[in-house]
Amino acid sequence: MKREIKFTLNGDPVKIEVMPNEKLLDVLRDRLGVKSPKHGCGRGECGACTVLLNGKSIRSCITLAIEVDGQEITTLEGLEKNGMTELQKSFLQHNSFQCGFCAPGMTLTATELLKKNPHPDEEEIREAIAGNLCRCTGYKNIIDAIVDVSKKG
Amino acid sequence: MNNFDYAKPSTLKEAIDIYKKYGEKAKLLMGGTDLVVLMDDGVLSPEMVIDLKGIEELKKLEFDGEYLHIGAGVTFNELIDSPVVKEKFPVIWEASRTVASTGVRNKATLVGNICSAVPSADSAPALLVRGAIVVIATENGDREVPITEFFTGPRRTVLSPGEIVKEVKVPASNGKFGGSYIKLGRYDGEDLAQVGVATIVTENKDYKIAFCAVAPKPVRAFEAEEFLKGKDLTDDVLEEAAKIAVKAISPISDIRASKEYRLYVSGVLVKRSLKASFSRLNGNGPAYGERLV
Amino acid sequence: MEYKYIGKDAKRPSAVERITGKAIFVDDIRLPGMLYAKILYPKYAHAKILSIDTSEAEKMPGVVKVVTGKNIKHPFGDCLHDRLPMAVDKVRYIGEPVAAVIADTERHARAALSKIKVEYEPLPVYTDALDAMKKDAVLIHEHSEKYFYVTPLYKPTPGTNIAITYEIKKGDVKKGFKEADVVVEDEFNFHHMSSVAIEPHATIALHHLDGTVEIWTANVGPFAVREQVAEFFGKNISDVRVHIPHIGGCFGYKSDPGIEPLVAYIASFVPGRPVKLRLTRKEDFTSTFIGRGIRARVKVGATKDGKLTALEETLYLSTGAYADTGSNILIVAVQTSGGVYYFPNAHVKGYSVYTNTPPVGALRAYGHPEAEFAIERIMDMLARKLDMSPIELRKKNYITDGKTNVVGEKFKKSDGDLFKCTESVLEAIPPKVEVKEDENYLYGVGYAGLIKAPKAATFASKGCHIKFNVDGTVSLNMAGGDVGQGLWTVARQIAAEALKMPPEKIKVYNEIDTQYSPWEWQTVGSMFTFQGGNAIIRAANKAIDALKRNASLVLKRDPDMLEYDGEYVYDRSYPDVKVAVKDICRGYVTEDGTTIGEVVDVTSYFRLPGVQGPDPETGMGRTGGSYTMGFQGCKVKIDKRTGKVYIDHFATSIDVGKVIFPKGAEAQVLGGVLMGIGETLMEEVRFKENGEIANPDLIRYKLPRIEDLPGKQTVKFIETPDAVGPFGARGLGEHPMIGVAPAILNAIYDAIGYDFKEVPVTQDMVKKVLEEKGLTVKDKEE
Repeated sequence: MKREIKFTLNGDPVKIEVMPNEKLLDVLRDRLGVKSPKHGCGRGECGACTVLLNGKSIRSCITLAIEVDGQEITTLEGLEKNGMTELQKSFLQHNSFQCGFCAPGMTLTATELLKKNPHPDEEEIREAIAGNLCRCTGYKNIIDAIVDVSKKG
Repeated sequence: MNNFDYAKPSTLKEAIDIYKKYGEKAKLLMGGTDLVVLMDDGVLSPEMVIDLKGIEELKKLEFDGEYLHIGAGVTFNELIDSPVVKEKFPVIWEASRTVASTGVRNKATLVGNICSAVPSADSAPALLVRGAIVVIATENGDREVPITEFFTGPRRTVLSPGEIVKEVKVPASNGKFGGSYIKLGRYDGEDLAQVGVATIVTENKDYKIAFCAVAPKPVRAFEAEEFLKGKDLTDDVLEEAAKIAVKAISPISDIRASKEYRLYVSGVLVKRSLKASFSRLNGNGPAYGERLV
Repeated sequence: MEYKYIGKDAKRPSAVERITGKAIFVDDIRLPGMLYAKILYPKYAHAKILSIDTSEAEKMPGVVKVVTGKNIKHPFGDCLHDRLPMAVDKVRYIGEPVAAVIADTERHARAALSKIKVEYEPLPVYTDALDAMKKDAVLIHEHSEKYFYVTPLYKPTPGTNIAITYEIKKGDVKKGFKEADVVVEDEFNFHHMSSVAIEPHATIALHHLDGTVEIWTANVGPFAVREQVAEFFGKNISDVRVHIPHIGGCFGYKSDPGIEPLVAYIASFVPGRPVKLRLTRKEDFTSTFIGRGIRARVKVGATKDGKLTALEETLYLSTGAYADTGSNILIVAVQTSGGVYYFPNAHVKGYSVYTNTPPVGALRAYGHPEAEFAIERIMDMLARKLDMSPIELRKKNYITDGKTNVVGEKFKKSDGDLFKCTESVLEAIPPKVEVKEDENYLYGVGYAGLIKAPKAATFASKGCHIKFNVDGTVSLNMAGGDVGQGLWTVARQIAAEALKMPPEKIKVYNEIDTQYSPWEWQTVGSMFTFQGGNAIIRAANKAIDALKRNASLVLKRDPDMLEYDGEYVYDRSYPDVKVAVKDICRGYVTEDGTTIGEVVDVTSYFRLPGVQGPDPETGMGRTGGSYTMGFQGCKVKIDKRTGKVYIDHFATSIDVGKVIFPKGAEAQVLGGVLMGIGETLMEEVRFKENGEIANPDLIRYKLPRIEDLPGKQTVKFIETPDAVGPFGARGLGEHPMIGVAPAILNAIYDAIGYDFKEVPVTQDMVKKVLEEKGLTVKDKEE
């Protein structure tokens, strides 16, 4: 029952056989060695597994790998090909993260927002990342870092 | 998650054929934000999963002057990003924004939301007050079911195996109206509704009220609508309307809220929603999407 | 005093790794030949296991082994050895492992679970201590008298469900209440919650063919894991090696050996093969430690001018199926029952009681929020009865210089200035609300003091290993787990200050390995800055002494005539007589190659000085050692129609002695307060009557989200230097959570005149009160 799927992963073509019931998160992490999306809840509730599907943030833990056949997937590994992004530098500057486990998902969600809306106001920022859980920080420094980037450029 | 076979047909006919063949043993996949969780929990163990994302015609989102056609493949974020939805169907737009989080709304679809038919489906009250029609593709051609008749119970609809919701079509409004959807979660943010209320108020004092999360299925409050018809929204009228409206619901106690609380809050939200709709009708209400709770 | 590096902004070691998703967490590790385990859980929260049939499961594809508890010979633990890695003949909670499947993939292991057949004989289920203490209650542990305990403090009461009992007696409580003009008495209940780090628990264990064991896990107690696993298998401690990669948040439940003994047990059936177990979010709720779960019956007396005279209190901890990890939580709660207040007389008794819930373990500030919730709420109630401002009453009774807490520990000026903390919070949030009510909302303010000591084992130490490199840079190794709280940054700053060199020259460890890292008890109790910082200073001084000894050979001066500045060692009176550190840190190579002097590679340790175990008779003693105190306050507004509580402004002021890393310290408070808001208004592990958890996911278990942020947060640090802490610094990490619940509930009282006595206080609880009090509004305005 295995199927071969082809998709673009961080700009590179990928061809892999998957079972229909394999989740995208597991295929990325366990079979393709892409470790930045994290397993946090398995039910789309925490956002740690966020990846971009054709530029849009999705929960890879409730997405079947087979669904992305022919699509384009981006993870942090793809964003960072030329070093840290402006957003990541701002996170660093603002001491935005503590343990860092939610950072990849948060970063991709914020990246999607800034691409769609380069100068969001604080309310728009809060709304965009509202579905990404962080237990450490109290969110404030994450919001501040995104606000900073939104004011630039 | 048990194993299953997977098909990604490119036409509705093909999809219906496969669905017919597997019957109850097949499940339809669009956004998957509900289905994959249920399969993962072992609640559903289909033999066949039919991915409808390959069917081009289901991606349609258009307004033809008479109806807004929301194809089965249209995600909540696509609705939110659509100027025509925002302008002409603001209650659907407002309700869409309350669904989960952006990472879920990028995949989850409105049609999927009503097909899952959970009592707390956020899109349902908005569709109920707009008199939406569910267009179902069957092997014998399309059939149309008014949204008021679509839900039959918790996670149950009129759909039978082999039938696929193609689109939801929402009639345009003739005159001026104001509407609103208010959702109360146990706390803000990504959450299932404890109570969801949508209302519409028109120029000629026609009123529509619908609920989610407070009955086995999303419901219209017909009796209250009848009572309100032609009346001005005075304090006493509002009070009475809220009293009648909550007769339409039968909330339960669960981990999100108690029955008593839901009954009470439903009344409060009906009043609040009617008032917001009314002020929007008159052009002096809060902007759509603004916080009403 | 002017410092060059501490108290200044600093770069966080590992920040780039964490932000870029490159940090390695346990689940990111794949070892060659690795197998995967999945766990079977019981149908009942309390039942005898009659039989387990694994034969069908063994035949499933990919299955290597099916493991049950029948090979377990004895329980394990730390203070009270009552724990089992897997159920043997009965199950005691719904998340207890009954069997495990080891397979080539996680999917195969999971598929085989349903093929295991287990027969149970259900027993009555108790989820509350009070029920489990009833005379006719069925015993959850039938033979608790057989369990090993380290001291009589941890001795169970056989024939009952009471695991441990702890009592303190200070002064004469009867006399104290006689002197009282006013007595207030009430009961408070702090429900269970979960730590809910975003990274669920994960562990890999490997039994090498030579009999040694290697473990990779997310735990801030690697040495405790090593010791307990070694003891369980009867191995030498040195034959167990534990690796700690990055940890995705801890908040308590990754600080005692949790799933590690389980995974080590499972892996023992497949020697030579590493076995990984990663918990799902649901398992993370049901099968790891939960926290809190204390009821407190409190009675306080005071004279009419507001002097506290006596405290009488009984605490009941619903400790869960195993009491080892909960014991210390109960003890700490009893020792903290007086909060920041001086009681001349106190009698406090606590019971830790077996229940059919997951075991209670550490959770940020454990014991303190529970006990201080009760005392800080009752202080407000007492103030009302005395017709006195709650602030005045508090200030009158603060433990100050020379006064003692309920266990008789005398406080010193250098323990901190609560008055300053109080003032700075009142400055941010004045005690009088301008507008008490408007059309939509009711407003109120509330306050609470907070205090916390590390509360560790008396022998708890932290170590620091400093290795000078030949270019004059330093490698610094310790065993403190940086779970995000920033202790690697703090370690580097303190080391920079002590070694007088820029932080860039000091490389801080970023993983822990019990084979190489200096011994550390556990990274718990907000002790790292205090203990670890002192260990760094000791090691730095030891290294500098060694450098001076080496320099004395080269410069021909006595070592005490020499000075060190981070780059050179030089003659105090003739600074140009000097030798570079890099030339003497591995000894000094003379012209002909002969090398003299020592290699500068040192290790030092630090423990809390003078900390004692409690007196067996009175329960008293110097059990805290070092205290951090503070004050918190908030302004709330309550929606009259829905009962929703909004935190408009939350202010925290803590006397930390000395701020080492300002951004990090502030971040600890911001995050800690939000977590406190979570436990106050939304978070609760809820049990059904049958012992199942009703909300083991992140939809039904409410974690604070962005929308729950207070409108504003004020954070102020007071710096009264500690007599012992490094550069005067004290612990901080857990403290911001402690006063949140009572401050909010006191504010709710101020707004609506109702005393909530339990947390969480949910919207419908508030709503119900508003209705009863006629405080709701009819929607006629607007």
